[in-house]
Amino acid sequence: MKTGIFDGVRIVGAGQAVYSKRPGRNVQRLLYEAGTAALTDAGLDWHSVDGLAITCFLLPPDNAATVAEHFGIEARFLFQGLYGGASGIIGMAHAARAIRDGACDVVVVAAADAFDVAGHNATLDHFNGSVREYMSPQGFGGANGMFALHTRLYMERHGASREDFGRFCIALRDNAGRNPNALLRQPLTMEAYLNAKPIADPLHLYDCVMPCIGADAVVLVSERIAHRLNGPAVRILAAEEIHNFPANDPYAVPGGWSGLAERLYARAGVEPGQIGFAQVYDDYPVMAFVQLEGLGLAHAGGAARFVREHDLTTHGDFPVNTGGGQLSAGQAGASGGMIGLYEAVAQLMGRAGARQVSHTRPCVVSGYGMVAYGRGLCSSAAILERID
Amino acid sequence: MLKPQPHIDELSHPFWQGCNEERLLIQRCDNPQCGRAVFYPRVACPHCHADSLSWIEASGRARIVSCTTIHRTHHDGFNAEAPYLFAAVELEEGALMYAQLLAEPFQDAELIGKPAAVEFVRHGPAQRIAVFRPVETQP
Repeated sequence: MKTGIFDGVRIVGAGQAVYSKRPGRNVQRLLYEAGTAALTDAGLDWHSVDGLAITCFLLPPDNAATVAEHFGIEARFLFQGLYGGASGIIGMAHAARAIRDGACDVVVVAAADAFDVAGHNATLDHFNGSVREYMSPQGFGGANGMFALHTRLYMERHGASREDFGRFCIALRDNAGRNPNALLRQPLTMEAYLNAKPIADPLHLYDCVMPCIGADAVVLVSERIAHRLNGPAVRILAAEEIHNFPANDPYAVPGGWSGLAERLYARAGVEPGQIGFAQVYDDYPVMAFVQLEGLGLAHAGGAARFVREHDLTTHGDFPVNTGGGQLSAGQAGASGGMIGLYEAVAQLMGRAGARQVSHTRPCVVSGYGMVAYGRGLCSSAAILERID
Repeated sequence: MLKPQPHIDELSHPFWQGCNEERLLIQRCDNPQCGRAVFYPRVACPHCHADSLSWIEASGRARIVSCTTIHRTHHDGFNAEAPYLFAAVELEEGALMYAQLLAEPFQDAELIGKPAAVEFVRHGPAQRIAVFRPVETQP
């Protein structure tokens, strides 16, 4: 067997807080609920936890250390994600290195947020200096406006149509229909997709995620702990991050993933053709397209053809975002960068219920975040595999 | 309702002061081997990492890179103008800039690649802001 960089580390549990549109739970509570669900899934409890990797836009002025205090954890490892939706995978990788290097044994990797549309816009308006100073005053329309520009340019460059993005959204909605924790489960028709109210042309309502309240978590442990557990386990074949790639060019698609994919697959020891399913960061369908291309699953500029030729549902030939993704499950702020990781681990452990994919081939998961002057700066991806 | 205003500091002050004087100020790298135009304002050159940038007045001529019609605004201060055009434009000097586009909405796709020229409009009690207007040929 190939020696991997994360040998000695196992993912042994995945869990979510109940997703909701209704306020009432603060982010510490949401992190606790998701962490508890993931620990229970693993056959562990909070007494065993000695590390936390937390990502949450609404956490400040609290931080990972105060979450440890809040939960009563004596932590030997803390990570706090500052890279938006890329942080879930990055936090997992940092936690895996800490466990591998012997710093700690049990890490809860979790993200949470509690947003509505107004709260999302207020956070994004002050996301970083360039957005606050040179985007928001110009009337950029929030993330919707920024990614409308990407979507328009992608359509012009590659001949993609709104129907192609619609096919992607409709397949994800189909997946959400089998996920009891997805907020949007009613089937989506192409007619409803195309005729939905316009948000920022060419984006209409179903191209945009619904801000919501929720949290996702996975549990990483050392082999020493894993040997005491009875459940299935997942290993990280590789995990990579890249930021501000390519520098100074917001419209060089396929963006960051094309800068990390070669190392990702080389370190994992697998080819893109061996990947069985994918969980990509779907803040907008165009970014999912760019990830499919950057990660080598579709040809450059060929994602529209990919979604025409493949069935992306959980019973299809190449399942994508098997829980419905953020587009149909809802975007709980920074947990948009964890929901794919949660879903990948739940699937690989065989615990995805009615939406369980039928094979056990490796899964690629990708993250994206920190929208700045025209694009998200941070990209991440990991390849996970079930251990039998 | 007041639109979101810039939080002017020593780095952004020349740009926003320039808007009030109806001059589009951007930076250019002082390294003669680089000399590239830079926007948004930086503390050092993001192309060659040289430590010195100078403010220059841009021509205001630009090309529309991508364009959208904003229907749902991110801030109530823009609601009265919606639907309106918002664009990424490449300045003649080479830097990318995001700004509102003064033209009839809904012609986003047709405007890609077209020339545009800067104008300055009132943005707040003491602040003007750079916007662009599509032009047939560059003045």
